[in-house]
Amino acid sequence: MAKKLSRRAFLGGAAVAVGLPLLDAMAPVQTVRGAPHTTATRLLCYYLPNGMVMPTWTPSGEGNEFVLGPTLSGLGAHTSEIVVVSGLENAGSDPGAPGHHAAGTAGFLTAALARKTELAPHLATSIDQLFAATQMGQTPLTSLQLGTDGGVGLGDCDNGYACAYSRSISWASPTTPMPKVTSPSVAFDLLFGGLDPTATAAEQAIRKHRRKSVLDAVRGDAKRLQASLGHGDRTKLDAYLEGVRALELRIQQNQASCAGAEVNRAPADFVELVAAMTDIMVLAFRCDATRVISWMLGNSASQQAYPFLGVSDAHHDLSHHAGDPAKLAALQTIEAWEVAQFAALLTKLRNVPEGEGTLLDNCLVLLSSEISDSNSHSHKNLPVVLAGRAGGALETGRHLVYPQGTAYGDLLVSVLDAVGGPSGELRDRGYAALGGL
Amino acid sequence: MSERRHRWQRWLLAGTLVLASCSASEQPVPGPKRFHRLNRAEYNNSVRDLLGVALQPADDFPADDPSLGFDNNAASLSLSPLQFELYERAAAKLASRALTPGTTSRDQLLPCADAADATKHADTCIAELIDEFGPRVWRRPLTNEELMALSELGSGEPLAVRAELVVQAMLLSPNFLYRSEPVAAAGETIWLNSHELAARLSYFLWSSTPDDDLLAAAQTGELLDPATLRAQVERMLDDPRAYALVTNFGGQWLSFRALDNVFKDAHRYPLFDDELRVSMATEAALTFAEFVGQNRDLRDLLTFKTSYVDTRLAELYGVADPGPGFVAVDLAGAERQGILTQAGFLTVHSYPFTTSPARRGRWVLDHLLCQPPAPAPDGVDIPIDPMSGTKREELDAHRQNPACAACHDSLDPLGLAFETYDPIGQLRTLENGEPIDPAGALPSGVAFANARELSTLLADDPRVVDCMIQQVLVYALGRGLTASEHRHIDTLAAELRERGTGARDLFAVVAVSELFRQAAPAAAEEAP
Repeated sequence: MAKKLSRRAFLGGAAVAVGLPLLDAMAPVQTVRGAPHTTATRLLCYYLPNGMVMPTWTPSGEGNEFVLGPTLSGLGAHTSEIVVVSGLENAGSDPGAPGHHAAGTAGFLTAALARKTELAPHLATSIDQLFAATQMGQTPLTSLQLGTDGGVGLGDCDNGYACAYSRSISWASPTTPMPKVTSPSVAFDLLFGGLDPTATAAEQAIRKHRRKSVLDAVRGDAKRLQASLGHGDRTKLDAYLEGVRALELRIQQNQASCAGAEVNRAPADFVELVAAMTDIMVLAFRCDATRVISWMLGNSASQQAYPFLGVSDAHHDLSHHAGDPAKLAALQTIEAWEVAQFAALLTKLRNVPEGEGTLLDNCLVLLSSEISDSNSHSHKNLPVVLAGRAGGALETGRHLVYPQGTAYGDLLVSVLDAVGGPSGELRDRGYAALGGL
Repeated sequence: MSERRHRWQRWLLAGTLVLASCSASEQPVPGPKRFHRLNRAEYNNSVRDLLGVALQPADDFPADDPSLGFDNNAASLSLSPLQFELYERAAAKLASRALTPGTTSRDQLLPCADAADATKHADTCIAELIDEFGPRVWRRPLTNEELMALSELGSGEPLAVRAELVVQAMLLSPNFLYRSEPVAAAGETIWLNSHELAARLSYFLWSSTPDDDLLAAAQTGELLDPATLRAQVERMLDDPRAYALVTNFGGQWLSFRALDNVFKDAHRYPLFDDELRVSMATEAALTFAEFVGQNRDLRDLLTFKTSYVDTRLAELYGVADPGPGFVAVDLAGAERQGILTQAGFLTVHSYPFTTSPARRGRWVLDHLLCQPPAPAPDGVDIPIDPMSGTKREELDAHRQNPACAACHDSLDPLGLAFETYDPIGQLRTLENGEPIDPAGALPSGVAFANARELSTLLADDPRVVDCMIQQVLVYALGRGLTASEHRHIDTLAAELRERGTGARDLFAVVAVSELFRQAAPAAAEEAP
């Protein structure tokens, strides 16, 4: 039997050495004629699984006078570019019953309650997609969903909640989860592939025309199916037609060009994978291939092991620490490493000059997790960091402490307001902009 | 089919569109439909069987979310714009590869492009391509409207370009990516038409597209005849493509697919590496393949003593090295019996650093008896890893809490029976220096001394056969069963018992069942 093992499996079993000879994705920008120049606001949503050990996470002090604790200390070089937000509770996503990881993950970008079902997931459109809808046609790819783990498993993701809740944070509609790309090679080709630099304008036009003719043909197929449907299941065909429409818009654009860009297409281990995906996020923004990215550093209730950190237990198992100091210390080690990956991303974004400032200045990065304390599956006092200045809309360098119970959904309204996305749907659900942000 | 081609050619040559009088099965019947997207395995297998090219484009597609235990559930197979773009890229790559001059696929798809036929009109050439390839890709005859749309694609372009665009469009079409089936309103019974049935059959037994033989039986309508259907099912089960039942049904039901994603603490379990991981999965796959291939009694899955062992597993099981490859070895002396004591099963249903009686016990309730326990009360999802003593002692204390006892009274005795096997399935007698007692009793009061005796008891439990039928139905239909559909299970179980409860017959009985030949009821999409 030719049993193929996944790359993740290979990683999981092997001892992994740290040290990453990475291709330098951050080579100085080589401006090419026609290369996009933009100072548009970008939104990046950065998800970490399994919550945080809050005592070691939360900074001391408030406002402009705060000191990062052990977990966030890796962000020291970015203190002036972040806002740490404490005290928010995502009660709107709390199922009040088992399924906290799935429901909390589903709530990260929606602040909505996931319908408990294995078959017909229903949530809300996520904020990245609300913003993406306003950017359609502005960039080659409207949005990009990235992650480390497509998810294998046994078909039971979390206590009767559909696996989509655990594996997708981006939702194009309340019923359409957006699966992630987990291969740097596939992601890179989606962003920059298929561009033949030697093709003449005429040849490119022919190629566009042909692709469009195929799309016209399959749209016709979908429309004919739709016409024969009666009142049947339109959702699937709608999603298909949405795919046709998005690709058509994309073909009308020129493929993003990012001269000299390359990434590590075949990462040897988890550490290299995260680094490669970090490079891809920076490239995608730098070259304006998309303005909206969501990223999951592991799926909900991730069982990733971190032997390269000297932590040999699986993350989720460990997260039920029951107060055991050794387990808490191991968790905090993982969390500090996650924050270091986040810091590396911010550094790379900052290293790209853009307009009068840097790429990071034009970004808004939202980082959080599905829960805070993992042992009790708490949806209170969530760990939240915002980074970047959203083109000037966000005043950074602060630690904001809100009264316990302040709605996390309010933060999502503020994020949309800051990037210029529509927040009406969230406001209709009773959320309002977070005061003082 | 050849008659249809001639008609088609005549219309084209005459330059007039004649409205066809299609047979009933060719006409799309208006009414509610259910769309079932091909999953990654089905996509790869389908393009392999259709084009014969050595590409597996679906390896790049995002993972399909499983539900109800399987990743072929129609309700969970959604589609995002990003996925659609990957489909487009795959279609372009496949078309270009399949039509590369000098390849077999090109000769089959576009025979008239050869020099000898160079005089043929390009339109005729394309018409032949559509006529030959279209019904295979879309698993049904094309309507006139569809034929016309495809024949006009790329008109004015060179023949080679047109052919590529046509193949691309067929592979990107919802008619390829989705199986569409009617949906029955409450109280209504709709029988699938012959082409819908052929597709359901091939994706069930092969995880792939119907072959020419099956399509021919669909085209003539003979597939709707029970005797023909039975013969097709037997033919398909004889075909090597039926191995998909081992990897896709068996791999998920017996959970050996999940070995890909299992992590073990390397310090505590140094034996566990990627080689052993593959050996474990291979043992389980070979076992299930043997049961299906030889139509062995399903109940023997819980009682067999001879399993497939290689050097690595021999080391783990403490038996003599059988030499190169996998060899059937009697493991009775090594305290092994049936699937529940195979290393892969025990490894998947454990934590990285400790065993999990709850996970192992839960699998038995869920997957063997179809009696899933209720979810744990809030906030008790905690792995038990006693620093001293045994798990039995911890769990006994745990059951003092009535909220826990409700489920754990049935879970724990089952799971604790496997405690003599460690997190990688190796035998052990002590935990934290104390002896492990695997003995227990079923809720009925019948006692067992260890996991092997428990397995023997389970083999005699009639619920096991019923449960397997239920699982196979969920897999075959790609959906959950409604409450009223559950009664079919009894009928099918009786039929299967009559035939001797063979593992191959299990699939055959489901494939010819009424439920399998009928449209899903509208309520099915929400059925648990």
